Amino acid sequence: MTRRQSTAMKLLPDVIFLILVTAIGVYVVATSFSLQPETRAFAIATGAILVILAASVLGREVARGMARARSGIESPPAQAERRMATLLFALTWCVAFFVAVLLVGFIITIPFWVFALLLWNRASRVTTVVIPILLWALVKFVLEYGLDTILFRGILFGDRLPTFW
Amino acid sequence: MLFGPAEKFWLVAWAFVAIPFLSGKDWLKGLVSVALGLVLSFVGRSVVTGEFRYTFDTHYLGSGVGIIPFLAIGVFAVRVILELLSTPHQPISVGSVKVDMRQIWKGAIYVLKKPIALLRASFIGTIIGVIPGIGPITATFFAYMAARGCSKTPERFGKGEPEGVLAPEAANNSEQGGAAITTLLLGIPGNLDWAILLGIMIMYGITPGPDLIREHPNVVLGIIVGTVAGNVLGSTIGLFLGTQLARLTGLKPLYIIPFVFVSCMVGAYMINNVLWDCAIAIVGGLCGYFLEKLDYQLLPFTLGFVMGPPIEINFYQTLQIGLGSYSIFFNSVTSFILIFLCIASIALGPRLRVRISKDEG
Repeated sequence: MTRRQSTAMKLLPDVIFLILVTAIGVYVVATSFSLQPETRAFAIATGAILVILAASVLGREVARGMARARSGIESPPAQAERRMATLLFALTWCVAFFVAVLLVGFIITIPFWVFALLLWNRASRVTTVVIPILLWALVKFVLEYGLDTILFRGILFGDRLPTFW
Repeated sequence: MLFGPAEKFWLVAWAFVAIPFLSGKDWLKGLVSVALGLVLSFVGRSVVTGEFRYTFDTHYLGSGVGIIPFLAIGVFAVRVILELLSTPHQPISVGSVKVDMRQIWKGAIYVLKKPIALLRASFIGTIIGVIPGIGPITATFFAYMAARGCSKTPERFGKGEPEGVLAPEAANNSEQGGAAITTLLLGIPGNLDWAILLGIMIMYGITPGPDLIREHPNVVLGIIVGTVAGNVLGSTIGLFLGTQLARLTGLKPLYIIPFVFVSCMVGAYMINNVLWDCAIAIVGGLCGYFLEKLDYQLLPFTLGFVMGPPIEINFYQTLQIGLGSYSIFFNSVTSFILIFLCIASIALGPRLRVRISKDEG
């Protein structure tokens, strides 16, 4: 991997984040013009400040990255790459939980998700079985029976999803 | 009137520019963090006209980005879950934890034998805590230095001298009390914990600021009594169950993650019985993860997010009082002092940051 590629890889999370933040700022400024005049000024000013600040940090980070690459003190990109990979992996577990709850509800998702998580991470056999059952029992008996909480049962079991759009 | 809407606006604006300089290494990123938090707080109904804005025409975002699902559960809890999921087999404590019950009681009695050291460190912690954003690290550092300076045996510090532990810990705890002063008197959160509390107060329609004590004395008293009771309870649990609780640090995160994550998701759902709150908590976790890992600091972000609605209300109230003229923002001595503080913070902030970083080693 060339030094330029290495720098790009290390800068990537920061740059993506800053581009996203700048885009949010631009969106706020652009849409604020259609608001009522009474509420326009503060939103436009804040959005503009966000765009200026984010663009400044973006410029500075890119310049710093380039300087590091030129001076040859650039650290290997493997660490940044690994961090992104582990984050994506962790995020996948969280999103999988949400999607599973959406489809089949909390009561079914909780034991299966916990079981899969422990199994994937090679926990001992006893804990892989005991923790999901324990958590399921806690939610079922304490929340559903004890506190009369109605948890989401999943769209596959006829529960209706609250409107998002 | 010492504190009208214009003065309240400048007070919060001063907190917005000063805290990034005091709380983190990179002040520019801290300012980005404040502005981002502020912009996210705009989502939903306008606090002034009730008009919907930045909702992408969605029904869900019409009620705004919730403080509890997004900030309290997402940014603060799910963020940690994301970090722990990255290293599920690495125990929280590296060394083996063996705590003797007699040692705990000996330590507790030692504190009572050193009332002057305790009061001195607590006083330092409180004073440092009053300054928003500086945080407990500076408080513990100053308390340690003071204890060492006043000790007859300073050479024993760093070699197991109990007073070297007493002073930073006393300062660390009393810093919370100092932070409470700024939070309850000025409506500017002294640290992250108080920022969340402030957000919840706003959520329940309790406006933080100089009028809080006059308008809601029961809330302020409740917080003070709650803090005292919490400390007493925490100390009692620590004294009697310290040895057992210390073992928890040897647990692998893998066994903690299921309990915490499931609690977070069920908790997020139970706020409004809306499943999308779970999704917003996950988004908050991701946002918090990047803010933390990329050095954008969580305190400025929380401050911007929590103080967004109050600063906007004060801004438009000031404009209404001034019949649309912006000169009203510069009409009082208090406003001028606060504007001067804003400019001074921006001008001197970077130098102060370098100084604090050097002091903290």
